[in-house]
Amino acid sequence: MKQKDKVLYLFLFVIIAAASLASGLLGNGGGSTLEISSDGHVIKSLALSEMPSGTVIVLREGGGMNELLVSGGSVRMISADCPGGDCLKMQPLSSGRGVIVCLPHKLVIKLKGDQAQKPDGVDAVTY
Amino acid sequence: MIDKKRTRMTFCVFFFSALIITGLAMLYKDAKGASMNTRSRESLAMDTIMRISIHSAKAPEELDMILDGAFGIIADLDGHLSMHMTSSDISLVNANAGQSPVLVSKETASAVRTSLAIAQRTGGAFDPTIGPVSDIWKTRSVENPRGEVPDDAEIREALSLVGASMAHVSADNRIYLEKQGMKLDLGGIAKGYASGAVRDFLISAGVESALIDLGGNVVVIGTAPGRAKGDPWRIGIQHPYRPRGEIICSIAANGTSVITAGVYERYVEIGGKKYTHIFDPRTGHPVDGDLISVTIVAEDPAAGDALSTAFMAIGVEKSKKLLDSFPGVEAIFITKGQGAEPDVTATEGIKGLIKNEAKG
Repeated sequence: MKQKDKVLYLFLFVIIAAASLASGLLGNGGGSTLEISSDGHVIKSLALSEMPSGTVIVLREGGGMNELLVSGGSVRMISADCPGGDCLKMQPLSSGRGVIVCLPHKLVIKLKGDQAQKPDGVDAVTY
Repeated sequence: MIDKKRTRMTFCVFFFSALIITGLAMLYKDAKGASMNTRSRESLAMDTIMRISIHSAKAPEELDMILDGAFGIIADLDGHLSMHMTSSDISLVNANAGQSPVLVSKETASAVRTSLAIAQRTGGAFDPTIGPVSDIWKTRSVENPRGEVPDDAEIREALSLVGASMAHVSADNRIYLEKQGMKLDLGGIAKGYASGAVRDFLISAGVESALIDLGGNVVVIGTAPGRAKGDPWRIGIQHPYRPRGEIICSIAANGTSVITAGVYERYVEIGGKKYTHIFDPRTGHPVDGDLISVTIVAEDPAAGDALSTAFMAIGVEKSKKLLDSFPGVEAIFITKGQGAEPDVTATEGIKGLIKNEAKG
Protein backbone atom coordinates (compact mmCIF):
# COMPACT_ATOMS: atom_id res chain seq x y z
CA MET A 1 0.00 0.00 0.00
CA LYS A 2 1.27 3.36 -0.98
CA GLN A 3 1.94 6.03 1.60
CA LYS A 4 -0.89 8.28 0.32
CA ASP A 5 -3.38 5.36 0.52
CA LYS A 6 -2.43 4.87 4.15
CA VAL A 7 -3.02 8.51 4.83
CA LEU A 8 -6.39 8.36 3.07
CA TYR A 9 -7.54 5.31 5.05
CA LEU A 10 -6.34 6.82 8.29
CA PHE A 11 -8.22 10.01 7.45
CA LEU A 12 -11.44 8.07 6.72
CA PHE A 13 -11.01 6.09 9.91
CA VAL A 14 -10.60 9.23 12.01
CA ILE A 15 -13.62 10.89 10.36
CA ILE A 16 -15.91 7.89 10.97
CA ALA A 17 -14.72 7.48 14.56
CA ALA A 18 -15.07 11.17 15.33
CA ALA A 19 -18.57 11.33 13.83
CA SER A 20 -19.65 8.29 15.82
CA LEU A 21 -18.33 9.63 19.10
CA ALA A 22 -19.83 13.05 18.43
CA SER A 23 -23.27 11.53 17.91
CA GLY A 24 -22.98 9.88 21.32
CA LEU A 25 -21.62 12.84 23.16
CA LEU A 26 -23.49 15.82 21.80
CA GLY A 27 -26.98 16.80 22.82
CA ASN A 28 -29.39 19.35 21.47
CA GLY A 29 -28.68 23.00 22.15
CA GLY A 30 -31.03 25.96 22.21
CA GLY A 31 -31.69 29.41 23.66
CA SER A 32 -33.92 30.39 26.59
CA THR A 33 -37.65 30.00 26.20
CA LEU A 34 -40.16 31.81 28.39
CA GLU A 35 -42.75 29.24 29.41
CA ILE A 36 -46.02 30.30 31.01
CA SER A 37 -48.31 27.72 32.58
CA SER A 38 -51.83 28.18 33.88
CA ASP A 39 -53.29 25.59 36.21
CA GLY A 40 -50.66 23.07 35.15
CA HIS A 41 -51.01 23.60 31.38
CA VAL A 42 -48.50 25.45 29.22
CA ILE A 43 -50.36 28.36 27.61
CA LYS A 44 -47.42 30.24 26.09
CA SER A 45 -43.91 29.27 25.05
CA LEU A 46 -41.92 32.22 23.70
CA ALA A 47 -38.30 32.50 22.54
CA LEU A 48 -36.69 35.16 24.75
CA SER A 49 -34.30 36.19 21.99
CA GLU A 50 -37.21 37.09 19.70
CA MET A 51 -38.83 39.51 22.16
CA PRO A 52 -37.46 43.05 22.10
CA SER A 53 -36.60 44.73 25.40
CA GLY A 54 -39.69 46.52 26.72
CA THR A 55 -42.17 43.85 25.60
CA VAL A 56 -45.13 43.60 27.98
CA ILE A 57 -47.00 40.30 28.13
CA VAL A 58 -50.54 40.59 29.47
CA LEU A 59 -52.00 37.45 31.01
CA ARG A 60 -55.68 37.06 31.84
CA GLU A 61 -55.79 33.72 33.62
CA GLY A 62 -57.28 32.31 36.81
CA GLY A 63 -59.88 35.05 37.02
CA GLY A 64 -57.32 37.86 37.18
CA MET A 65 -54.70 39.84 35.33
CA ASN A 66 -50.88 39.80 35.42
CA GLU A 67 -48.35 41.73 33.35
CA LEU A 68 -44.80 40.59 32.61
CA LEU A 69 -42.05 42.87 31.33
CA VAL A 70 -39.21 41.53 29.18
CA SER A 71 -36.16 43.73 29.63
CA GLY A 72 -32.48 43.16 28.93
CA GLY A 73 -32.79 39.37 28.73
CA SER A 74 -34.73 39.12 31.98
CA VAL A 75 -38.42 38.82 32.79
CA ARG A 76 -40.28 40.27 35.78
CA MET A 77 -43.82 40.70 36.98
CA ILE A 78 -44.76 44.38 36.90
CA SER A 79 -48.48 44.30 37.60
CA ALA A 80 -50.99 41.90 39.13
CA ASP A 81 -54.46 42.21 40.64
CA CYS A 82 -54.10 39.16 42.90
CA PRO A 83 -54.63 39.56 46.65
CA GLY A 84 -51.28 39.99 48.41
CA GLY A 85 -49.30 40.61 45.23
CA ASP A 86 -46.59 38.13 46.27
CA CYS A 87 -45.69 37.53 42.59
CA LEU A 88 -44.67 41.19 42.30
CA LYS A 89 -42.05 40.67 45.05
CA MET A 90 -40.38 37.77 43.27
CA GLN A 91 -36.97 38.18 41.69
CA PRO A 92 -36.77 38.64 37.90
CA LEU A 93 -36.02 35.56 35.82
CA SER A 94 -32.71 35.53 34.01
CA SER A 95 -30.18 32.96 32.83
CA GLY A 96 -32.64 30.18 33.56
CA ARG A 97 -32.77 31.02 37.27
CA GLY A 98 -35.83 30.81 39.47
CA VAL A 99 -39.49 30.84 38.80
CA ILE A 100 -42.29 33.36 39.27
CA VAL A 101 -45.48 31.95 40.73
CA CYS A 102 -48.85 33.63 41.19
CA LEU A 103 -50.76 31.19 43.36
CA PRO A 104 -54.16 32.99 43.30
CA HIS A 105 -54.13 33.01 39.49
CA LYS A 106 -52.48 29.56 39.27
CA LEU A 107 -49.69 30.92 37.04
CA VAL A 108 -46.14 29.57 36.80
CA ILE A 109 -43.62 31.53 34.73
CA LYS A 110 -40.11 30.24 34.07
CA LEU A 111 -37.25 30.37 31.65
CA LYS A 112 -36.33 27.10 30.02
CA GLY A 113 -32.99 26.56 28.35
CA ASP A 114 -29.92 24.34 28.38
CA GLN A 115 -29.25 25.10 32.02
CA ALA A 116 -32.74 26.27 32.97
CA GLN A 117 -33.72 25.39 36.51
CA LYS A 118 -30.21 24.03 37.10
CA PRO A 119 -28.28 26.95 38.55
CA ASP A 120 -24.60 26.31 39.06
CA GLY A 121 -24.91 22.82 37.63
CA VAL A 122 -27.16 21.43 40.36
CA ASP A 123 -30.22 19.30 39.71
CA ALA A 124 -32.53 21.12 42.12
CA VAL A 125 -32.44 23.69 44.89
CA THR A 126 -33.81 23.14 48.37
CA TYR A 127 -35.19 26.24 50.09
CA MET B 1 -0.25 -8.63 -6.41
CA ILE B 2 1.01 -8.72 -2.85
CA ASP B 3 0.59 -4.97 -2.66
CA LYS B 4 -3.07 -5.26 -3.70
CA LYS B 5 -3.70 -7.93 -1.05
CA ARG B 6 -2.05 -5.78 1.58
CA THR B 7 -4.14 -2.83 0.49
CA ARG B 8 -7.36 -4.83 0.78
CA MET B 9 -6.31 -6.23 4.14
CA THR B 10 -5.47 -2.78 5.46
CA PHE B 11 -8.77 -1.44 4.17
CA CYS B 12 -10.66 -4.24 5.93
CA VAL B 13 -8.81 -3.63 9.19
CA PHE B 14 -9.60 0.09 9.10
CA PHE B 15 -13.20 -0.50 8.04
CA PHE B 16 -13.98 -3.01 10.76
CA SER B 17 -12.15 -0.92 13.35
CA ALA B 18 -14.36 2.00 12.42
CA LEU B 19 -17.44 -0.24 12.69
CA ILE B 20 -16.39 -1.40 16.16
CA ILE B 21 -15.87 2.19 17.29
CA THR B 22 -19.28 3.13 15.88
CA GLY B 23 -20.83 0.30 17.88
CA LEU B 24 -19.01 1.35 21.03
CA ALA B 25 -20.16 4.94 20.53
CA MET B 26 -23.78 3.75 20.25
CA LEU B 27 -23.39 1.69 23.41
CA TYR B 28 -21.96 4.74 25.16
CA LYS B 29 -24.91 6.79 23.97
CA ASP B 30 -27.29 4.17 25.40
CA ALA B 31 -25.37 4.11 28.66
CA LYS B 32 -25.75 7.88 28.88
CA GLY B 33 -29.50 7.49 28.81
CA ALA B 34 -30.41 8.06 25.19
CA SER B 35 -32.68 5.03 25.35
CA MET B 36 -34.31 6.36 28.50
CA ASN B 37 -37.45 8.45 28.35
CA THR B 38 -37.98 11.51 30.49
CA ARG B 39 -41.23 13.05 31.61
CA SER B 40 -41.50 16.16 33.79
CA ARG B 41 -44.53 17.92 35.15
CA GLU B 42 -45.33 20.61 37.65
CA SER B 43 -48.42 21.76 39.44
CA LEU B 44 -49.52 24.06 42.24
CA ALA B 45 -50.54 22.38 45.49
CA MET B 46 -50.03 22.89 49.24
CA ASP B 47 -49.54 26.61 48.53
CA THR B 48 -46.39 25.98 46.52
CA ILE B 49 -45.02 24.61 43.26
CA MET B 50 -44.60 20.86 42.91
CA ARG B 51 -42.24 19.42 40.29
CA ILE B 52 -41.60 15.80 39.44
CA SER B 53 -39.24 14.57 36.77
CA ILE B 54 -38.99 10.84 36.02
CA HIS B 55 -36.57 8.93 33.79
CA SER B 56 -37.14 5.38 32.74
CA ALA B 57 -36.88 2.89 29.92
CA LYS B 58 -40.67 2.65 30.04
CA ALA B 59 -42.78 4.05 27.20
CA PRO B 60 -43.56 7.78 27.40
CA GLU B 61 -47.30 7.04 27.66
CA GLU B 62 -46.67 4.83 30.68
CA LEU B 63 -44.55 7.55 32.29
CA ASP B 64 -47.41 10.02 31.76
CA MET B 65 -49.75 7.64 33.59
CA ILE B 66 -47.23 7.29 36.42
CA LEU B 67 -47.04 11.08 36.72
CA ASP B 68 -50.85 11.20 36.79
CA GLY B 69 -50.71 8.82 39.75
CA ALA B 70 -47.99 10.82 41.53
CA PHE B 71 -49.86 14.10 41.22
CA GLY B 72 -53.05 12.31 42.23
CA ILE B 73 -51.33 11.32 45.50
CA ILE B 74 -50.30 14.94 46.09
CA ALA B 75 -53.82 16.23 45.41
CA ASP B 76 -55.32 13.62 47.74
CA LEU B 77 -52.90 14.44 50.54
CA ASP B 78 -53.48 18.18 50.05
CA GLY B 79 -57.21 17.48 50.38
CA HIS B 80 -56.65 15.48 53.58
CA LEU B 81 -53.96 17.53 55.33
CA SER B 82 -54.82 21.14 54.51
CA MET B 83 -56.07 23.29 57.38
CA HIS B 84 -57.49 25.80 54.87
CA MET B 85 -59.87 23.47 53.02
CA THR B 86 -63.02 23.23 55.14
CA SER B 87 -63.71 19.66 54.02
CA SER B 88 -60.22 18.32 54.80
CA ASP B 89 -59.62 15.72 57.50
CA ILE B 90 -57.54 18.22 59.46
CA SER B 91 -60.24 20.93 59.32
CA LEU B 92 -62.84 18.42 60.53
CA VAL B 93 -60.59 17.32 63.39
CA ASN B 94 -59.99 20.96 64.36
CA ALA B 95 -63.72 21.77 64.19
CA ASN B 96 -64.44 18.89 66.56
CA ALA B 97 -61.65 19.65 69.04
CA GLY B 98 -62.77 19.05 72.61
CA GLN B 99 -65.97 17.41 71.38
CA SER B 100 -65.49 14.11 69.58
CA PRO B 101 -62.96 11.97 67.73
CA VAL B 102 -63.06 12.21 63.93
CA LEU B 103 -62.56 9.27 61.57
CA VAL B 104 -59.87 10.23 59.06
CA SER B 105 -58.13 8.60 56.09
CA LYS B 106 -55.29 6.22 56.87
CA GLU B 107 -52.91 8.72 55.21
CA THR B 108 -53.99 11.51 57.56
CA ALA B 109 -53.74 9.21 60.55
CA SER B 110 -50.26 8.14 59.49
CA ALA B 111 -49.08 11.73 58.94
CA VAL B 112 -50.40 12.83 62.35
CA ARG B 113 -48.87 9.78 64.06
CA THR B 114 -45.50 10.63 62.52
CA SER B 115 -45.89 14.28 63.60
CA LEU B 116 -46.74 13.36 67.18
CA ALA B 117 -43.82 10.93 67.39
CA ILE B 118 -41.38 13.63 66.24
CA ALA B 119 -42.95 16.13 68.64
CA GLN B 120 -42.19 13.74 71.46
CA ARG B 121 -38.65 13.02 70.29
CA THR B 122 -37.83 16.74 69.90
CA GLY B 123 -39.23 17.73 73.29
CA GLY B 124 -41.94 19.81 71.61
CA ALA B 125 -39.62 21.85 69.39
CA PHE B 126 -41.76 20.56 66.55
CA ASP B 127 -45.45 20.31 67.39
CA PRO B 128 -48.33 19.66 64.96
CA THR B 129 -50.75 21.34 67.41
CA ILE B 130 -49.06 24.71 66.80
CA GLY B 131 -52.23 25.97 65.02
CA PRO B 132 -53.49 28.41 67.72
CA VAL B 133 -50.07 30.13 67.87
CA SER B 134 -49.64 30.52 64.11
CA ASP B 135 -53.26 31.71 63.95
CA ILE B 136 -52.79 34.68 66.31
CA TRP B 137 -49.69 35.84 64.43
CA LYS B 138 -51.26 35.43 61.00
CA THR B 139 -54.46 37.19 62.13
CA ARG B 140 -52.36 40.08 63.44
CA SER B 141 -50.72 40.47 60.07
CA VAL B 142 -54.11 40.89 58.39
CA GLU B 143 -56.42 42.58 60.93
CA ASN B 144 -54.10 44.92 62.71
CA PRO B 145 -54.18 48.57 61.72
CA ARG B 146 -51.92 49.64 64.64
CA GLY B 147 -49.29 47.07 63.88
CA GLU B 148 -49.20 45.48 67.36
CA VAL B 149 -47.78 42.02 67.90
CA PRO B 150 -49.75 39.58 70.09
CA ASP B 151 -49.32 40.39 73.82
CA ASP B 152 -48.15 37.96 76.50
CA ALA B 153 -51.69 37.10 77.63
CA GLU B 154 -52.74 36.17 74.09
CA ILE B 155 -49.65 34.07 73.59
CA ARG B 156 -50.15 32.30 76.96
CA GLU B 157 -53.74 31.53 76.00
CA ALA B 158 -52.69 30.19 72.61
CA LEU B 159 -49.91 28.11 74.20
CA SER B 160 -52.43 26.53 76.61
CA LEU B 161 -53.94 24.90 73.50
CA VAL B 162 -50.62 23.61 72.16
CA GLY B 163 -49.27 20.21 73.17
CA ALA B 164 -48.79 16.97 71.31
CA SER B 165 -49.75 15.03 74.46
CA MET B 166 -53.28 16.41 74.09
CA ALA B 167 -53.69 14.94 70.59
CA HIS B 168 -54.59 11.29 70.09
CA VAL B 169 -54.75 8.95 67.11
CA SER B 170 -56.51 5.63 67.67
CA ALA B 171 -55.65 2.35 65.98
CA ASP B 172 -58.81 2.69 63.89
CA ASN B 173 -57.69 6.09 62.52
CA ARG B 174 -59.75 8.43 64.71
CA ILE B 175 -58.13 11.66 65.80
CA TYR B 176 -59.16 13.51 68.93
CA LEU B 177 -57.94 16.83 70.30
CA GLU B 178 -58.64 17.16 74.03
CA LYS B 179 -59.43 20.88 74.24
CA GLN B 180 -61.82 23.04 72.31
CA GLY B 181 -59.79 25.57 70.31
CA MET B 182 -56.90 23.19 69.65
CA LYS B 183 -55.77 23.13 66.03
CA LEU B 184 -53.57 20.77 64.06
CA ASP B 185 -51.32 22.56 61.57
CA LEU B 186 -49.27 20.12 59.50
CA GLY B 187 -47.54 22.86 57.49
CA GLY B 188 -44.22 21.73 58.97
CA ILE B 189 -44.46 18.17 57.72
CA ALA B 190 -47.11 17.86 54.96
CA LYS B 191 -44.78 18.45 52.00
CA GLY B 192 -42.18 16.10 53.42
CA TYR B 193 -44.80 13.44 54.04
CA ALA B 194 -46.17 13.90 50.51
CA SER B 195 -42.72 13.63 48.93
CA GLY B 196 -42.15 10.35 50.78
CA ALA B 197 -45.50 9.01 49.55
CA VAL B 198 -44.66 10.03 45.97
CA ARG B 199 -41.21 8.45 46.19
CA ASP B 200 -42.69 5.14 47.45
CA PHE B 201 -45.25 5.21 44.64
CA LEU B 202 -42.65 5.89 41.93
CA ILE B 203 -40.40 3.09 43.18
CA SER B 204 -43.33 0.67 43.29
CA ALA B 205 -44.19 1.73 39.71
CA GLY B 206 -40.71 0.70 38.60
CA VAL B 207 -39.28 4.17 37.96
CA GLU B 208 -35.48 3.88 37.93
CA SER B 209 -34.61 7.56 38.30
CA ALA B 210 -36.59 10.55 39.56
CA LEU B 211 -36.34 14.01 41.03
CA ILE B 212 -39.19 15.02 43.31
CA ASP B 213 -39.22 18.69 44.27
CA LEU B 214 -42.25 19.65 46.33
CA GLY B 215 -41.78 23.32 47.11
CA GLY B 216 -38.05 22.91 47.77
CA ASN B 217 -38.44 19.59 49.59
CA VAL B 218 -36.22 17.49 47.34
CA VAL B 219 -36.15 13.70 47.14
CA VAL B 220 -34.13 11.73 44.58
CA ILE B 221 -34.35 8.19 43.24
CA GLY B 222 -31.57 6.37 41.39
CA THR B 223 -28.99 8.13 39.25
CA ALA B 224 -29.39 11.51 37.56
CA PRO B 225 -29.93 11.18 33.79
CA GLY B 226 -26.77 11.53 31.72
CA ARG B 227 -24.47 10.37 34.52
CA ALA B 228 -22.74 7.11 35.19
CA LYS B 229 -24.71 4.58 37.19
CA GLY B 230 -24.35 5.20 40.91
CA ASP B 231 -23.27 8.83 40.51
CA PRO B 232 -25.18 11.07 42.92
CA TRP B 233 -27.56 13.91 42.21
CA ARG B 234 -26.35 17.36 43.25
CA ILE B 235 -28.78 19.46 45.25
CA GLY B 236 -28.13 23.16 45.85
CA ILE B 237 -28.89 24.85 49.18
CA GLN B 238 -30.55 28.25 48.76
CA HIS B 239 -28.36 31.23 49.62
CA PRO B 240 -30.39 33.06 52.31
CA TYR B 241 -29.43 36.57 51.18
CA ARG B 242 -29.74 36.08 47.42
CA PRO B 243 -32.60 35.59 44.94
CA ARG B 244 -34.37 32.26 44.72
CA GLY B 245 -32.24 29.75 42.84
CA GLU B 246 -28.86 31.16 43.88
CA ILE B 247 -27.11 28.69 46.11
CA ILE B 248 -24.62 28.91 48.95
CA CYS B 249 -23.45 25.30 48.67
CA SER B 250 -24.53 22.01 47.23
CA ILE B 251 -24.61 18.42 48.41
CA ALA B 252 -24.29 15.10 46.63
CA ALA B 253 -27.47 13.10 47.22
CA ASN B 254 -28.03 9.44 46.53
CA GLY B 255 -31.47 7.97 47.28
CA THR B 256 -32.19 10.45 50.00
CA SER B 257 -34.18 13.58 50.81
CA VAL B 258 -32.75 17.08 51.21
CA ILE B 259 -35.14 19.43 52.98
CA THR B 260 -34.69 22.99 54.23
CA ALA B 261 -36.47 25.30 56.66
CA GLY B 262 -35.43 28.94 56.54
CA VAL B 263 -36.53 32.20 58.12
CA TYR B 264 -36.34 33.96 54.73
CA GLU B 265 -38.81 31.81 52.84
CA ARG B 266 -42.18 32.96 54.17
CA TYR B 267 -43.16 35.59 56.67
CA VAL B 268 -46.00 37.50 58.29
CA GLU B 269 -45.76 41.29 58.14
CA ILE B 270 -46.99 43.25 61.15
CA GLY B 271 -46.65 47.00 61.28
CA GLY B 272 -44.11 46.95 58.46
CA LYS B 273 -41.87 44.44 60.26
CA LYS B 274 -41.39 40.94 58.90
CA TYR B 275 -41.65 37.94 61.22
CA THR B 276 -40.74 34.45 60.02
CA HIS B 277 -43.54 31.91 59.59
CA ILE B 278 -41.67 29.41 61.78
CA PHE B 279 -42.94 29.56 65.36
CA ASP B 280 -41.40 28.04 68.46
CA PRO B 281 -44.15 25.87 70.02
CA ARG B 282 -42.53 26.34 73.44
CA THR B 283 -42.55 30.15 73.49
CA GLY B 284 -45.33 31.04 71.08
CA HIS B 285 -43.03 33.49 69.27
CA PRO B 286 -41.45 33.40 65.80
CA VAL B 287 -38.01 31.79 65.97
CA ASP B 288 -35.30 34.37 66.43
CA GLY B 289 -31.58 33.84 66.63
CA ASP B 290 -28.43 33.38 64.58
CA LEU B 291 -29.77 30.39 62.72
CA ILE B 292 -31.01 31.36 59.24
CA SER B 293 -31.75 27.95 57.77
CA VAL B 294 -31.42 24.27 58.48
CA THR B 295 -31.16 21.59 55.80
CA ILE B 296 -31.83 18.01 56.79
CA VAL B 297 -30.51 15.07 54.78
CA ALA B 298 -32.50 11.98 55.69
CA GLU B 299 -33.95 8.87 54.15
CA ASP B 300 -37.40 9.76 55.51
CA PRO B 301 -38.52 13.12 54.09
CA ALA B 302 -41.36 13.50 56.58
CA ALA B 303 -38.90 13.31 59.45
CA GLY B 304 -36.54 15.62 57.55
CA ASP B 305 -39.25 18.23 57.09
CA ALA B 306 -40.31 18.16 60.75
CA LEU B 307 -36.75 18.12 62.08
CA SER B 308 -35.73 21.11 59.95
CA THR B 309 -38.53 23.10 61.62
CA ALA B 310 -37.68 21.80 65.10
CA PHE B 311 -33.99 22.65 64.70
CA MET B 312 -34.82 26.23 63.74
CA ALA B 313 -36.38 26.55 67.20
CA ILE B 314 -33.64 24.93 69.29
CA GLY B 315 -30.49 26.21 67.56
CA VAL B 316 -27.32 24.57 66.32
CA GLU B 317 -25.77 23.02 69.43
CA LYS B 318 -28.93 21.42 70.81
CA SER B 319 -29.80 20.21 67.31
CA LYS B 320 -26.45 18.46 66.98
CA LYS B 321 -27.01 16.71 70.31
CA LEU B 322 -30.54 15.72 69.31
CA LEU B 323 -29.23 14.22 66.07
CA ASP B 324 -27.54 11.50 68.15
CA SER B 325 -31.00 10.01 68.63
CA PHE B 326 -31.74 10.12 64.87
CA PRO B 327 -29.23 7.74 63.28
CA GLY B 328 -28.57 8.35 59.57
CA VAL B 329 -29.92 11.90 59.73
CA GLU B 330 -27.48 14.71 58.90
CA ALA B 331 -27.80 18.49 58.89
CA ILE B 332 -26.41 21.66 57.34
CA PHE B 333 -26.75 24.81 59.44
CA ILE B 334 -26.54 28.29 57.93
CA THR B 335 -25.98 30.98 60.52
CA LYS B 336 -25.33 34.70 60.52
CA GLY B 337 -21.62 35.18 59.92
CA GLN B 338 -19.17 37.83 61.06
CA GLY B 339 -18.87 39.26 57.55
CA ALA B 340 -21.32 39.78 54.72
CA GLU B 341 -21.64 36.07 54.00
CA PRO B 342 -23.40 33.60 56.30
CA ASP B 343 -21.52 30.67 57.82
CA VAL B 344 -22.16 27.11 56.70
CA THR B 345 -21.54 24.18 59.03
CA ALA B 346 -22.41 20.55 58.45
CA THR B 347 -22.51 17.46 60.59
CA GLU B 348 -19.63 14.99 60.26
CA GLY B 349 -21.48 12.41 58.16
CA ILE B 350 -21.95 14.72 55.16
CA LYS B 351 -18.96 17.04 55.30
CA GLY B 352 -17.31 15.19 52.41
CA LEU B 353 -20.42 15.52 50.23
CA ILE B 354 -20.66 19.30 50.37
CA LYS B 355 -19.33 21.72 47.81
CA ASN B 356 -19.25 25.34 48.90
CA GLU B 357 -20.26 27.93 46.31
CA ALA B 358 -20.18 31.20 48.27
CA LYS B 359 -16.99 33.20 48.08
CA GLY B 360 -15.92 35.18 51.11
